[in-house]
Parts: sequence; C-alpha cells; structure tokens
Amino acid sequence: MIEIDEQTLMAFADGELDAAAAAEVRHALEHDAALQARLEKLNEADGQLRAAIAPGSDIPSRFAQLLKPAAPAFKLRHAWIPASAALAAALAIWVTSAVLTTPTAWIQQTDQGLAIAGPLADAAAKTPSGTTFEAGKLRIQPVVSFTADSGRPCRDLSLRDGERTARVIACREAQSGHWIVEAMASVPASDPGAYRTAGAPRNAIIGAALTSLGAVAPMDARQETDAIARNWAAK
Amino acid sequence: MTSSSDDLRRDIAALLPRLRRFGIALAGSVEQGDDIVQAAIERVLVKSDQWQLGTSLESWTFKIMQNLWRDELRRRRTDERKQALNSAATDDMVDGSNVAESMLMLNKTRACFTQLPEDQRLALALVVLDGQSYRDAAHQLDIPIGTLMSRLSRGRDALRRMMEDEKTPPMVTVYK
Repeated sequence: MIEIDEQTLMAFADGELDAAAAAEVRHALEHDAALQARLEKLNEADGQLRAAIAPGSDIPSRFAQLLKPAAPAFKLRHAWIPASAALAAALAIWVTSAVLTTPTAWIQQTDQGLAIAGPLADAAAKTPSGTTFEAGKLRIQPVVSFTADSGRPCRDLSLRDGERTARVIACREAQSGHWIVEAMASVPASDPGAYRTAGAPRNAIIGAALTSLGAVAPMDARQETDAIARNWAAK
Repeated sequence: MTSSSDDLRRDIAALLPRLRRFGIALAGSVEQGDDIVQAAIERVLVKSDQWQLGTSLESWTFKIMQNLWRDELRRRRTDERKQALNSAATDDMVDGSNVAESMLMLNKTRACFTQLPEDQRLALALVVLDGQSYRDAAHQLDIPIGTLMSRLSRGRDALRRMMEDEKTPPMVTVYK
C-alpha cells in the first residue's frame, strides 16, 4: 500500500497536485479506507471553516453607500431588464416544476416589464422579512425590504425547494401595484452558514442590484409592518 | 465622477463577499472585519490612480487590508489584542431566532480559528476560504510555496486539535 503523507493529502484536497501525483492518491484512496476517512475529515473540517467564517447575507448599509455608483440609477435599472427576462424564464420553469400542483403563473408580463405574480406576489405583499410563506414544496422568504432611489418599495425574496435556492428582487410600481422584477439569480444552497443565517446566500448579481437600486438602508421591522398594513402605498 | 470610477465600484461590489470573509479571518469578528474592509475600500477608491493595470484588484485590496490590520495591531497592546480575539467568539454573526446545534459548532469553529497564529490564519483564509491556488496565496503573502504549505498544514492540524479538545472554553452565542 502506498503511504500518503499529510501534506500530500492536503495538496490533493486543495487541487494542487499534478496529474500524475493526483492519480497516485486517487489510486491509493480506492484501496485504503483509512486514507478515505482522513480525506473526508479534512474536507469536512474545511467545509466547517468556510461555513463558520462567512459574513451575513445582507449587505451592511455602509458598503452600499460607499459603493453606490455615481451614474444615474435609471441607466443601471434598464441594464438589468434583458438579463432579468432570461432569468425570469428560467425561474418560471424552475418554480413550475417545483410546484406541479400549483398552476398559477409566477411571472407575468406587464406594461412596466416583468412582474412577479401569484403566491410570489402575495409573499412580497404580505409576508414580513425573515418569515416564510409556503406554497406547495416551495418556501418563499422575504429577506429584506428597502426603498429604492426612485422611491419605490422593494423586496429581496429568497425562494427555496429542497435542493435549490433562487433570489428575486422586485420593486412595486405605485400606479399598477405590480412588483417589477429587478434582478434574479440562482444561488448555491450548499453553504450552511450563509444558508441558515437568513435563508439567503450571497450572490454578486443580487449584491450589485441592491447597490444599483440604492438599497442603502433596509426598513426596520416597524417600517415594514406599516408598509404591509398600507399595502405598500406611499405615506 | 467618471464611468471608470463606477466600474471600479462595481468590481469592488462583486468582490465584497470575499473581502468581508477575508476581513473576518483577519480580525476575528464581523464588525472588526467590516471596519477593515471599509477602510480598505476607501483607500482603494482614493488611490485608484495608483492601481497598476494588469495587477489584480483583489490582490491589491487584500494587501491593503493586511497592512491596515497590521497597523491596527501595532496600535494595540498585547492584552487588548487578546481581548479582541476572545470577544470575537461572542459576536453575533447570525440573524434569526433558530438556535441550531450546527450553529453552535460553527461558532466554536470560528472561535478556534481566531485563536490560531496570524500566519496560519491568513494561509487558511486565502486557500481554504478564498479558494486561491498555493501560488497566488504565497504571492499574496510574500512567502515561498513551501512555507505556505507548512502554515496550512500546521493551521489545519491546530484547528483540528482545538476542535477535538473538550477543554476548549465554552462558546457564548448571542442571538438577536
């Protein structure tokens, strides 16, 4: 049996061995249960560390303020729409397959652009952040509410089924009452630290959208409760 | 304000999760880590004309964060430093009301990690947390790859021993 020392095993786990050396370790792993256990322990410890040293899922307002683009917000907003359309289509398929018993549309076309609909819109309108709205197998959890630069109320929603997670940012148009999709992204649900903290793993697309919308200060619980009570109409 | 300034802000925004993770690894707590990240971003934005094209923005920002943290440590006396590291274990880095056993384990992991020597913590931060190659991490830390591997190995071993040691001080977790 080939003896694999700790540094070699570590370099293997870190993807740092050349092809020949990695093949040697893989071969040894096939025949050595103790070596397999050592590797699993190493990977498990690394995973635990990654989960432990993870920032929270929300962007602190100080960073949103610091990194807020100086360009006019409308330019950024329209830049998001084509990307959102493709992602919306993908998400529509995803949520439809996740909730076969719920034929309701989740995304609809409106004059203002793509808008969330059905249970997703209900969750955006009525569910406080941090609590879960369940629709079939799908769990919808608003992560945070904020007021965009444009004055529109916006919500960051996390959607989960057993294996997958997606994030949607939607902002409410005052006249129509539609929650217009500003950004969508699939996010990994494999990071237990981020996953548990607020049900909303971080994502560059969502983070950039929050920044571009001017999500400087999230609503606190009282402001959000008031907004839900008046159906998100302006004061 | 130029569009390149906006581009830089967007690039930094995309890097923010990695910067914040590195900040926690450096300082041992979310709050102090974010302080370093904020100071580094401010410095990057002010000194963006000094950023050499062709060099990595993340590498430059990481380096600034390291320097800021070293400056901070110099200002502190040793006992203050220990206090800061110990208090990191009680920082509430989570929102939410569900107290799960696994979360306690995560807090214990973080507390043990903050007790590692800084050279080992930085090696683990760059390779394990940030996913950098040995070459890039060694370059970032200005050390040979062999030294990096040694620090990684010792850091992982120390972390494992601390996690297995039942005498590790109990972790107090504050949930909001």
